Amino acid sequence: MAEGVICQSASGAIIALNPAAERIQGRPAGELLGKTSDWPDWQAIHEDGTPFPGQDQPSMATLRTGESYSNVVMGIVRGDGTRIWISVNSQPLFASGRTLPYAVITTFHDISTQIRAEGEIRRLNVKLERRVAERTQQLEAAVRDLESFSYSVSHDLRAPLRAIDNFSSILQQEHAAGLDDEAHRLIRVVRKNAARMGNLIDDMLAFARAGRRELVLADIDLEALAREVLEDLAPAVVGRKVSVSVGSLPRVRGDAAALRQVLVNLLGNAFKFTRPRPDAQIEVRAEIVGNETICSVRDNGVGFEPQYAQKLFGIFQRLHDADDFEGTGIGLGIVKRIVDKHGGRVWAEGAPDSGATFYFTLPR
Amino acid sequence: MSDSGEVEILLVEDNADDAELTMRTLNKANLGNGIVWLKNGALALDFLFGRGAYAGRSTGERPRLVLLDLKLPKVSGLEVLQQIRGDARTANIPVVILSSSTQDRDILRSYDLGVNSYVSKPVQFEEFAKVVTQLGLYWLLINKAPQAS
Repeated sequence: MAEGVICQSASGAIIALNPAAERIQGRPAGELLGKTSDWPDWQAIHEDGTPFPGQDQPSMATLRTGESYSNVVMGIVRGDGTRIWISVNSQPLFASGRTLPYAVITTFHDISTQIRAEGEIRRLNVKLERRVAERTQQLEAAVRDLESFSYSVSHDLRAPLRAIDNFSSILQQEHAAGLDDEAHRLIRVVRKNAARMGNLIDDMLAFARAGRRELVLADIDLEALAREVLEDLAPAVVGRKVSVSVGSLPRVRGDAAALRQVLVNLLGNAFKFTRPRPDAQIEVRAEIVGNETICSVRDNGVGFEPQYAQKLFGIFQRLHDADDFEGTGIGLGIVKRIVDKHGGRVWAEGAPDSGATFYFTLPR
Repeated sequence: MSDSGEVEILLVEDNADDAELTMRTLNKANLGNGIVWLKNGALALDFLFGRGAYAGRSTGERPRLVLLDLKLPKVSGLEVLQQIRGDARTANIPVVILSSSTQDRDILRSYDLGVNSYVSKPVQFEEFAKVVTQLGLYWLLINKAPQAS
């Protein structure tokens, strides 16, 4: 029988035990008989290592209360000095007509392997968590370094660019007489490229800033925000026929400035890519599906080839010629970055010449 | 410098090209008389406090405007600003930061230290000229600064 069995009298003294109890404890019956739960040689402890006083152990508790206890984990020291872990059950023996037991039967078996394995798992988990925390910290530091690097590089790039643009302008204006038409054209090319690089740098900075800023979450009236953004963008479509319809948009949880940027970029794109349309149509919609709000901006503009749908959100990815549609290709990258930070998703649907719809979700 | 030797603008700028562009623009707007250009923060402090390379210069002759870059060798723009504000002789000279940086913490720090204005240098020629001209006009012609005591 694998289960050790010990019987203790009402006083707590051991009066009987089986061979399995001797084997598990590594002590002969002669050593154990007559001992109480308080016997110091057991050095009884709880799983967390704190002492397990005799009076609290299952057998004594049963004698005191008449209740039975099961699966109590206890650490004891065997006859050879090694510590083992046992799982203990205690059961009272009653004489008829008495409310308190005259004896208690305790059964137990060795669970050292299991306890040690659990301990090992716990130890490894702690170690793993510590390692994850360390790595996360290192990664965060690396990201911060990279971002501050890109930030300062962008700033440092502006000074030489300013010199290129400004001095070529001065050449153009103050030495016009000494330059022929071709020289003037070449200076214009230089300046056009300086301006383009300036835009790229500004956009890189905007992108870095979108990543660095901590979100300040608040309850946002998305519809009011969309109408505000449309008002701000209105000057860009003066002289064009554009009809914009804003559906009834729910309130969302997010960072007001960041979400405004998302709408500015998406609506700005919609205005831009409907430019060839005599009757541009733009729709802003949102609905709550499950535990998220799905927002969309649809236009009837030039659209895009569906196989490039995911590329659109990459940094400096452009699907159109710079001559047809201006821009550096950072706008949707910033949209994705902001939505990612909110814990949402972005995607796009479209087809060449039949408009595009951009979606983003926000967790509720 | 103007005929009277009065310093109108102290330009503290380590980038020679930026300094040339700034001075050129101010000259075009007829605001270029009396510009002193210094290439680092330490020299700027020597100049303002009449010591070191400028030992003996009277601190009573205060520039009417200090145009200060942030990233400067030796003593940074923010340190220069701090020392200007920390000394009664220079505390109320108008100081404008003219920097490439648009970083929020640079702007905040400058205002904390008592800058009068923070302007980021545009890259593009027309923009740069416009900003520097407006700056010069405003601080030298429109703004009323306290007289040196």
